[in-house]
Amino acid sequence: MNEGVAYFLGICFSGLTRGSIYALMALGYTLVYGILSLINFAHGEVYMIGAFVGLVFAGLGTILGLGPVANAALALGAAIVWAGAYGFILERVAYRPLRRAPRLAPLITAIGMSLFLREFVILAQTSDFVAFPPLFEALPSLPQGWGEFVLPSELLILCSTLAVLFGLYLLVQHSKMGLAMRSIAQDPEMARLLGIDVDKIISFTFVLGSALAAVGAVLISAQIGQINANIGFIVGIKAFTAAVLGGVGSPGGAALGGLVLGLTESLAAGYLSSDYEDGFAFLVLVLILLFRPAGLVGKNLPEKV
Amino acid sequence: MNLLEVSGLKKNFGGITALQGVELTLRPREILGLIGPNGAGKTTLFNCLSGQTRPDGGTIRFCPQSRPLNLAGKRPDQVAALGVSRTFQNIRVFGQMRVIENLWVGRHLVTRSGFLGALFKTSRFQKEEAESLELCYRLLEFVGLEGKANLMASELAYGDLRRLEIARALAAEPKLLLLDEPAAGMNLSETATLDQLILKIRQERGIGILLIEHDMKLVMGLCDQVLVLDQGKTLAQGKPEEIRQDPEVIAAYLGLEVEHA
Repeated sequence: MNEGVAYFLGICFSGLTRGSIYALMALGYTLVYGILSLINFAHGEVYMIGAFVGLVFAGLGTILGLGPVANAALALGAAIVWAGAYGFILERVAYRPLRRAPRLAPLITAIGMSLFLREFVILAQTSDFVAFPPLFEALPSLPQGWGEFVLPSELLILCSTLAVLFGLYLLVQHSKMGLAMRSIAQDPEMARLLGIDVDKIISFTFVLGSALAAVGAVLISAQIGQINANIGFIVGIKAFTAAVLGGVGSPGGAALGGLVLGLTESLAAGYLSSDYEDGFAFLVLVLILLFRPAGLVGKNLPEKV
Repeated sequence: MNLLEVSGLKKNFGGITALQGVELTLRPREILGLIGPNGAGKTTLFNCLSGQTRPDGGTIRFCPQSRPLNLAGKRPDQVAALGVSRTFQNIRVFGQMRVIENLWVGRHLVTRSGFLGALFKTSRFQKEEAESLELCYRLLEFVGLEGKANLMASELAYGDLRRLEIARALAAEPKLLLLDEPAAGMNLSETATLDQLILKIRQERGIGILLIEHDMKLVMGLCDQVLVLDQGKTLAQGKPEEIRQDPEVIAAYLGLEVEHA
């Protein structure tokens, strides 16, 4: 294969891998925003906690002598449950009491929770980078030629993300729960009048978003190989950018926005300079806000009254 | 036994008295028209019945089966679960959903299988889903929206939106239906169709209907009973012909309307 083409494909795959994680994270922002019109700024910290839980349980699995697949399943499962519990408690503690408060109040508690969770992990664990156990070692190697531009782990992450996205699509569009979520997004009071327990659906949405974040966190941490207490911050902001890029409140937009952002970053880093990688991500945010504030797939909706 | 018995219902908003002792009785299979000048408390009464507003005093006895329940102070989702559905004067359908999905949300209370059932497509789930869907299509036909199941609700014409909202309220299989000015903004022929629809609901479903309406012809022609609300109090309740002749009612409200009509 031509070296330039392989380089280009390699960049695309690493961008899509990264974008997968942004997409999973952006969905958490956008689902919550769709229902509560609230930006959950502590979402990045839930991601970080998911990574730490994954690390602890993957280490435990190694000690217990589990096989690679069982170990990965344990790490992933534990991270999902743990992060889901954090999402549930977060909503109960920081947002539900402020349901009727002015919009600014839950925004401030969100930032407060974000700082609290990060400092909590730094105190309880460490502020240093810690090595994440390699979960993907046992993956079979790819056919001849593929290896030039894509890693088995990248393909795994990409495929897992697409599977999760498809499952989420079915959930939102074709299940009773999804219908209830959409009805709350459109008219919460009417949803209540139809017998929907709005608080329960909101809790479910937080748990769901947190579980998605945990999946992304474990996958990418195993790929990168190290984590620390600050990883949630930058990924959180990038994923928020992806959500805005796609059109906040739109799940399809969030997924698309995540992948586009990952590609943009990767292409900019690969062809221009890796020093400006983050810069390009936020340049995209600025451009979108200037020229298409409703996002890629969002319609320019009139102001809610 | 009465389906609905409201007594001594009170509600204040700050210093403003919206309801000061409303009395109301509705028998099963009865259509009760609620009339009264603007500000008489009709909407507040509806909101108390649906659970959106918590009354300050009084009781709302709702008796769908043999045992009466007090609705006062219950949450909207609890009231809905007990069998009360409502519509709004300014229609509130879910515009970003398909027509059939609107009905499907309406069936939230009736369908039981949750996410796991949907995920694994259990046989119970499949059976329930098929039955429920069939019911939704029949409801669309019932209100005259056949063939529009897969349109986005926001694409519907005004009259169709009203019918969709009524269909969604019926999807929950309520025992009591609250209709807030169902004929508002409709032309004469649309109002006549609506008239037929309401009668058909009573006839085929045998449920109690409470409706707020300004269209006097509709109220007098359709309702078994009329209740006149004035300044947050029940002025009179009775058959339409009695209400039409009640001197107090004429003085407070009807006289003016009838002259103009």
